[in-house]
Amino acid sequence: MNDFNKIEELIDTGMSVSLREKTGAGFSDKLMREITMMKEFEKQDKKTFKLMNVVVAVAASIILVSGVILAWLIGSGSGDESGAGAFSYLKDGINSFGYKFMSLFGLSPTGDVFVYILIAGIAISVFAVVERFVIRRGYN
Amino acid sequence: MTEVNPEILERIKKGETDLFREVVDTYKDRAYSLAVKILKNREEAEDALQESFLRLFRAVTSGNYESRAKFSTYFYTIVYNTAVDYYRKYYSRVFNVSSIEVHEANYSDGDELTRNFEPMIDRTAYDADSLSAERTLEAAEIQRIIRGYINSIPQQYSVILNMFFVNELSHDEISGILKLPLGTVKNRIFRAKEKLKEILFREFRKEELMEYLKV
Repeated sequence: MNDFNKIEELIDTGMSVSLREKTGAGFSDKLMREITMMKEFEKQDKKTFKLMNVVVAVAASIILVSGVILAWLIGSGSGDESGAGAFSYLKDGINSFGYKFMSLFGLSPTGDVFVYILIAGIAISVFAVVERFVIRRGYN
Repeated sequence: MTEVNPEILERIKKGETDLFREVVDTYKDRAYSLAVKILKNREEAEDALQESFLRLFRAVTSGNYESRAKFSTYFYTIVYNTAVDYYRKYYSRVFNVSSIEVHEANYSDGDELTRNFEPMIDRTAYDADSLSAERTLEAAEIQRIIRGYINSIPQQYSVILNMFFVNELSHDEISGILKLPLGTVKNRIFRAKEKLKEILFREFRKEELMEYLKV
């Protein structure tokens, strides 16, 4: 090797040695702990997400079934205003409460209006829950 | 060049995450050197490096890293981008690696490479009794000059030099990561070496340097 190459080697080695830095003691341990924690959180997140999906699905099913039953009851009750049964009783109760309460404000809504408001409220709640736990989660 | 065995990456992907320590131990110091050159702060550099390894881990385990890409280049790209993000966050300004225009024609002029560096040789250190002690002192002095020079040059040079000499990336790879023309990368390495050579020859005779090489 000639002198020029030797000087080049000196420069290259000198640069390489001088540029090197060392991480602090325990860097790898700290990082591996961080990774273990990250994995654990991810596992928990997955579990929670699965559980929430089940809860949302069950709640949505219950609400849907309730809606269908309610709609059926409204339909079956409409032909017989004086008929017996749980729904008629509920409707009468709502009617009497509604008349008394709303008359205070100069309004006189029927029981059907309350049922529609109730269904709309339930639909909004279902959407809010689904949006919070399923749709928004899916974006992230 | 040290490259991680692709089989290890495959095993990490399949769930043997403890093997990731091997990747960390292989790259941590060299990647840290790069982060320090960008951030000029050890604590922030370590934070950026930790974030880089976490990003790498997620990429490997989620399958985002494709083994067709060279692993070291892929990882150093993550380190560079993460450190630059930290730089923006901490200093609220853009890290611009291309801000120094390099013209090959005037590389030997007094320029930014030596603007902040004046080598201080302590000649009293050479009053040693034995020849070997003298050589050791001389070697230490040379190393000190090189280190001082490295610490004084602008980031636009030190980042490239680190990528080339420590991270062992090729000119092409550096050019790809920094999005700089290949000629600029080669030119900066050449200029930095030439300046260092000039400094060493100003402080030492050629024979002294050759003696150092024999130690």
